[in-house]
Amino acid sequence: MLRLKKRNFILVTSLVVILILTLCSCGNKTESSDSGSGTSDVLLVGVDDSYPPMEFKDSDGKTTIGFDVDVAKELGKRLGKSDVKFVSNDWTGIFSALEINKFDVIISSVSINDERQSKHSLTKPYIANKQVIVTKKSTTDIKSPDELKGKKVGVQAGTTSEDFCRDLIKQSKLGDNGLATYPLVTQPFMDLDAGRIDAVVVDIVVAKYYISNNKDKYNLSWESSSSEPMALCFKKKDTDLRDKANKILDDMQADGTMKKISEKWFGEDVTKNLQ
Amino acid sequence: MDLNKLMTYMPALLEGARNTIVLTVISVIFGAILGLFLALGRLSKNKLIDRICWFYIWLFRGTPLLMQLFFIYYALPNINPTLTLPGQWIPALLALALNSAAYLAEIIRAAIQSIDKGQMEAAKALGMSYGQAMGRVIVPQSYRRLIPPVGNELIALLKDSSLVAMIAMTELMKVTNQISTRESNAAIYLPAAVLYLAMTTIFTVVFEKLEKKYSVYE
Repeated sequence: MLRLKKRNFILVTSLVVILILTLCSCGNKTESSDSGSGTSDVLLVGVDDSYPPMEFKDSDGKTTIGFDVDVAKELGKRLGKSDVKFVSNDWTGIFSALEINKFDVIISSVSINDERQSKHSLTKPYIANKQVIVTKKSTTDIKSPDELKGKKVGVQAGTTSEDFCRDLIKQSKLGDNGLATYPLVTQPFMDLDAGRIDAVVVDIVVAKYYISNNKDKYNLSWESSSSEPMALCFKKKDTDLRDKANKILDDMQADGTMKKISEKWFGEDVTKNLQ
Repeated sequence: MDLNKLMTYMPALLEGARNTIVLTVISVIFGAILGLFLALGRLSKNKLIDRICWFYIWLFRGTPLLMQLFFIYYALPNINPTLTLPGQWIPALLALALNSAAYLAEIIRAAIQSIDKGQMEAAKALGMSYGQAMGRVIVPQSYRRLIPPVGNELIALLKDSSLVAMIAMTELMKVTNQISTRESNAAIYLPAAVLYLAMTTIFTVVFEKLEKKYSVYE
């Protein structure tokens, strides 16, 4: 009995020591991800970093890179921040996380729509986006949204691609159970591979990235004619910061920084011709 | 995905795995402490304490862990901004600890109740108070019976911790998702699964050893 007690004592003390050590080490980490709103020296940027080439991980699996990441870094610099840190939030809940202060701004391919306009403070457009339909190479009968009737379509949940498909359902161009939604943008592509769905509706920038990675697999079968601009998304109350960012975006357009970043990631300038 | 590519992702995966282990161990320690009090509360003669503990266990065992995570992370700040928990670690740890406490409470209660009634009576006959009898006689004897189900709970919690990827915690599941979207290839889930298996194997082995050691006294 005595031996058992001694052993317990050692076990408990060692556990407590481990606990304290780990808490200290986490403490450092949480400090960096604690967010002040715009007042702190670090700009905290919310990204769904599973969205190549807009925001994704480098080949080490750790560093966040992409078009939006370069824009965010430039914005941070011009706002006079000493550093820009990225918080990797799933797309599901990313807007709630912004308003509950988990980061200062979402720079993560946020397309402008009425709902987001009313609930948050969006900047002016900084890049033009479009909805496209991607199918397998072997699919030949889908050439426009009018040909989706009776087909199964996949989208990432909570995106403007989903809104696009919901509209199609309302216009009865797509069946009620013709839509499948997924948490990650890759997942509809995987389901397309597996043959469970017939087409993916997605942002053009992402579609181009995946198609160029899998040239023999996918086809860009339709591209919307109307463009869908994207903006930086600040908290509802941070209108001052938003106005500053608007000015910075103008400057970045004027001095060619935007063009440079766009050409780096897309090989062309997709930041002009914004209404 | 070829081996070279996999090796370049290994450091990121291992870092994710480390966070998974830290999450699991810290939440199970806090869960066990809270669980012990809940178990004692359930065994208490005070009807009110018993009811409160019953309600807690009923609530946390009866709702999905993912929902509890979302509630703590997203809903609390909406109810009142002062309820905002900072960062990602604290809400994740809190949800996992609160959830595992409910399960561990029932495990501990069952272990205590499995000790022969005569032990309590004998301890009391020796002049011990209820607290002394619990602390010195009953609870120590329940350790061995605790080990297998606690091992189970630990392994379950380690796997369930993958859910915190949904609230912006960078652990093994999240890292795997990020790499898989980068590669537009799901093959990375296989090495990640091997890492999970390696971690649960460590716990399995440790708990088997512990069980053997404590059996010596029975």
